[in-house]
Amino acid sequence: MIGHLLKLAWRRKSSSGLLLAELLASFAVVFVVATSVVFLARCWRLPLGYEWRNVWSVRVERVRTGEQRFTPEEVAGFARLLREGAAIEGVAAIAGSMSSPYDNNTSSGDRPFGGHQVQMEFTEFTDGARDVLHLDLVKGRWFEPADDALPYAPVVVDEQFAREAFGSEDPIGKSFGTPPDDRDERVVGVVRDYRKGGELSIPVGMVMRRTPVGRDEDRPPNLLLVRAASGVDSGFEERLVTRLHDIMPEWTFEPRALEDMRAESFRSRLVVLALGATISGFLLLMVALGLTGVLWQNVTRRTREFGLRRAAGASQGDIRRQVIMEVVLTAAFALAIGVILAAQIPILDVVPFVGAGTIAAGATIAGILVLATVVAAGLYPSVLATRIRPAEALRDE
Amino acid sequence: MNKVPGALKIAFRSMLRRKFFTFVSLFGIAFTLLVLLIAAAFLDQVVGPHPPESRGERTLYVERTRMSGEHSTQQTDSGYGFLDKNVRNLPGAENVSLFTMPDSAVSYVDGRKIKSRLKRVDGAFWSILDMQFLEGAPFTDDDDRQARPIAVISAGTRDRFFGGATAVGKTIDIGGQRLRVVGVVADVSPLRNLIAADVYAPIGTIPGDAWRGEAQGNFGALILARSPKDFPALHTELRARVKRFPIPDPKNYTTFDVPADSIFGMAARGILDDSRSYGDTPGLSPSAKLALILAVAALAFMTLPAINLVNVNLSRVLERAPEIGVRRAFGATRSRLVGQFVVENVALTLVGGIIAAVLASLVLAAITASGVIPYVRLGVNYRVLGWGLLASLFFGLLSGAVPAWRMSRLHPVEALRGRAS
Repeated sequence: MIGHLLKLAWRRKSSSGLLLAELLASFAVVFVVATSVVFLARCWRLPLGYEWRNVWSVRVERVRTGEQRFTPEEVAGFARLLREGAAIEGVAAIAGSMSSPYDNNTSSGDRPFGGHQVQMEFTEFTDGARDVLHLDLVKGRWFEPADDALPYAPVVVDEQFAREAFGSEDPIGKSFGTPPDDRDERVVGVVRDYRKGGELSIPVGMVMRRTPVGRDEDRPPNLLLVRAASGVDSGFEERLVTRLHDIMPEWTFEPRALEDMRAESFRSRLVVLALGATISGFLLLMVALGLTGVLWQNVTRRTREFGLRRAAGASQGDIRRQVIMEVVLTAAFALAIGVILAAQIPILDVVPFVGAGTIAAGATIAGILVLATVVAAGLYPSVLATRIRPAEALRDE
Repeated sequence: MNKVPGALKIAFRSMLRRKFFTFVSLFGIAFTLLVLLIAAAFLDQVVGPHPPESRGERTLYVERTRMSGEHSTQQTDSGYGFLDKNVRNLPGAENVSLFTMPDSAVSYVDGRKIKSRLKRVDGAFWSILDMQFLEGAPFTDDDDRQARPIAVISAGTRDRFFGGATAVGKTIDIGGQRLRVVGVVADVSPLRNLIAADVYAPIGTIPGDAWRGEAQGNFGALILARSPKDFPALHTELRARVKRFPIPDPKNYTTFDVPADSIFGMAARGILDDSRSYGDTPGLSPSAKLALILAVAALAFMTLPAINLVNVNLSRVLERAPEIGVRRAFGATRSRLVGQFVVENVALTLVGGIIAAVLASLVLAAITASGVIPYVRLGVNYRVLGWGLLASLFFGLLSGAVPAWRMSRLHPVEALRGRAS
């Protein structure tokens, strides 16, 4: 039967071609959305590498004096904040940083390691960051005040970066320079994968640099990360800011709980996905309606063909199956092309961070949805085809 | 020429005859145009000349500066020192305003945390923009020079600090300063990120005075031209002045650029974040690039609906084969029939466009009411409708062409017998 149906489809190749294009385009749209959903679901299950509960990120607005310049007073002021801030009631740990989890300050780059480019993100921490974020050290050591005297810049990397840059070699003691300033940097420790962007972010290797505090030549960070002791009351945030302001009256402080930043980051990422899913849902509905129309017309035009088949002994079920199988075959052809195209994504490594498994899952979901749409669109026209009475159909000329 | 009305009459009759096909076509068209209209409404909200930027079409915006050297480039906002010396007195400009980009500042009122965006502006800011004053009045350049601790606040800020009661004469504590409120303005959507803020204070109230000499900092400027025709002259003059200006960090960098952009160019520079788009580099300007990207995105989005409509239309053509056969047999020319079909399809798309416009204004009103984006007033205005109309026409022609061509090739005799395939 399939051979016969293929022959019929070939006879109407120009309209079949357009149907094919339509189904292929539908597959592409659903594939992109489905793959994103699968990808985000997988990201969601990966460990985060830090503990966000009870942590506040406080943006420190110094009186601005350009981006690159800073005064000795500012450097000393930041050191005071860290020193005296640790004594504020309810503060369990405090550190300075260039970026906080869930915020939009990202600096990233890539450089060659062992013949291939490795993507990375950077952040800068003062020595206290490990205690604030509860970073889990798996190898080597964390930063310490004695690092001020080192002839090189110590960095701590996460496991993903260590794996991508150094493979199975021991990363501790490895030396490299990173843009833009290419100073000599050496790995002193490895922490668990640190996903700055949060649960829904693309996992990228992380390089943590150490910000020394209190030396005139060092740029002070612009964020304070503060861990509150467990069980602080709701007035903690205001007390914290008031006390910080007492320490440095010229500066302003903008506190945000990581919990709120996390919710905000989820919202902004999911809104895009929800929008994409809604639009592709409507597109699929539009395709279903359009196909119904096309098949309906197709069936009414082929009255005599169906009549002949009925006269030759085909049952109503046979006719119904024929109508549905015809369009399913076209869809299968479109899906085959779609899957071959989708397979090029992992083969050519177009989107390196999305694995082949995710793409396969996305393609499978998209394939099933497109097939379901096609079958749903074929149902009514196929019933219509069975209503044709053989005698009337053959008489119709 | 009563050809077109005649064709329209046939068009509407055939639409009514096959209600299901008409519904399917209209559903696809209306949905497609709905999405495009909503996207256009958002774009318009970001770059359209809305109050308070009623004079946006003759305003140039200066914000980013870029230094580049052999090894690195660095981009930051402009500094007061540079703008004051080179932009404020730009010849040919009708008016110039300097301001800081908003800083966030936190206040606590009775234990409640209030977050505000604090912007420092000069007196000219209030005359270039059409801010709607609900209470009090703007401050002046003199207030700015005297660094008087006063502020104009937004209506939302008034609600947050004073529970909606009259604010003029009262004080707010913000960013470590106590400012007396002199005016209250209607809220500006945060999508207009260059001018939106919750609290506007005079530039002079910035603590210290290190900012006064900076080439790079966190300042921006509005240049109001007498007409958009003056833009090229203003660009040339600004470029010449930037060239004469000493490079802020000559050790590491060899060039210093401060571009002035239209509001669309400004948005494009922000969205594309293209560091190569500064100075005299050849190639597409950011606005041209963004326009191209938007056009390609709109086309890509229309692909699937267009193919769908072509398929539906082809079916309609084949179904109407007997009618076409009759008309051919009675002497209608091919081009007449093609014209008939294209008119029908465009009429259908326009009906779809009207439905889409109605739906879009409902959806946009719902988005506005939901407060997802604070203070935004989204709507379908004549600019958005114009783009929608253009999209409808393009879509109608695109999806009508293939079926019309197929229709014209139908053989009259075959068509009469309903045998077209």
